[in-house]
Amino acid sequence: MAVQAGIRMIQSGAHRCVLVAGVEKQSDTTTTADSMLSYVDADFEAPAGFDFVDTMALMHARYLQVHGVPEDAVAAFAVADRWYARRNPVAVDAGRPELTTADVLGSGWVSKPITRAACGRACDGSSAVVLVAAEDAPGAPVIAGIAQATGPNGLAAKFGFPGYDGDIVRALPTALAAESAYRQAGIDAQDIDVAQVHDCFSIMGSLHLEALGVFPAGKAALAVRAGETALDGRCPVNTDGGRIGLGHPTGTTGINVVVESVRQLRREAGERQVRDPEVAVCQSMGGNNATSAVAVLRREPGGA
Amino acid sequence: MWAPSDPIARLNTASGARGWRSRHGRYRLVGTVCLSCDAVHFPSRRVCPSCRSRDLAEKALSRTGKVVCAAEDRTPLAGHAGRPVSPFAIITLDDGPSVLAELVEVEAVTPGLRVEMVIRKWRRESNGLYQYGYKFREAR
Repeated sequence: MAVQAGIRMIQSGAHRCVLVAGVEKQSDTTTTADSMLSYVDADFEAPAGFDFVDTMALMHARYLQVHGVPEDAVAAFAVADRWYARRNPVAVDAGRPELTTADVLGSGWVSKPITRAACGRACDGSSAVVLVAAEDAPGAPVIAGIAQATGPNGLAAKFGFPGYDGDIVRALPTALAAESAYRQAGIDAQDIDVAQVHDCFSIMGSLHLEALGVFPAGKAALAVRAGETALDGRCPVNTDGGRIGLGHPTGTTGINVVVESVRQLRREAGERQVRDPEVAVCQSMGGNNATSAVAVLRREPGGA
Repeated sequence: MWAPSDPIARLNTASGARGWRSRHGRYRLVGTVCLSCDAVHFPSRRVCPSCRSRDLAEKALSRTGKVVCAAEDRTPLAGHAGRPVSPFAIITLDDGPSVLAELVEVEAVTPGLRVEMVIRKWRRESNGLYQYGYKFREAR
């Protein structure tokens, strides 16, 4: 969303060059309890004892229940993230050994059915992008579409909210934002060569992939398990290791997904480089799956 | 388990006034009903998300409902220390809206289980006050 604000500044003609930076220093500004409680509904969820692991555990449980998907398929997202993260020198999991789905499932319950290894890794971090008008930087990757959408934050309130079809297994804000961003860019989900999604927990990665249209509803977790998001798969996902492998410095995650997309389009990702990507999509979420931003980036012909 | 000598957790909680304003929802499941399209909401709303009407009335919702899906909290937060491992669920009330609540006095939780509302302690706020609110138990 900060990137979107930066783009609007340039489009408005008020500025020619905008630096968008995100910073997170969770380690000294809040207690873990505070940061965990600040995402959920402040009147009826946080005081009742629910943090965002709990609300996402319900989305996880509901996904298993509605789609009849086995637990190890959802866990496969964390395994895939680790594969990329161990090859990313700035990831919290850089150089760590491969994970298996059994490791993920056996890592201890946080909020059943979410296990420790299926959680995004709270950490400090920062990232930044420099935006200029396309004509001022010929050949640079362009942001071809960007949009954001918001729904209710209260988890239970989504059940009766228009558009949700009475359920929480759909990341509706992501789907709405993706529709708009794809329209601006003139692409559809089949054109995506590499995607970055907000996998603050393994289940959320699958929900967002489905909302982006990369996989049909109920199929994302199975596709991840089958290797379709691996480097040689149909659509590589979270090539920097994602929130689970790279780390989740929440204040800058939304910018970091743009950074990784640009890196891929410039073909500077080294071992993690996707083969000849032309279109990169990145997505970031806030709250209880309440708000989501989607951007489509494209490599300029002959660009670097 | 709970006593006035309990430590007060250092939490970024809302003020006592904020808790006071949410009491009808917490104690009696008061939500709103839209007088134009009949949609029922919980928590209360000022504008109907379905038809955008501002013509809403307060309504105490049904105290019974059924479990939609459930999970189990193994890592209680600060302010809930000493709380036993407890299941929690999305519960669809008989008159429509859903609530997120902890389950108490239940054996096995399965989707479709009939439950009824009870008042239980939620947590001690950083201002020292205890906040109470709804939890659900197996319907009797």
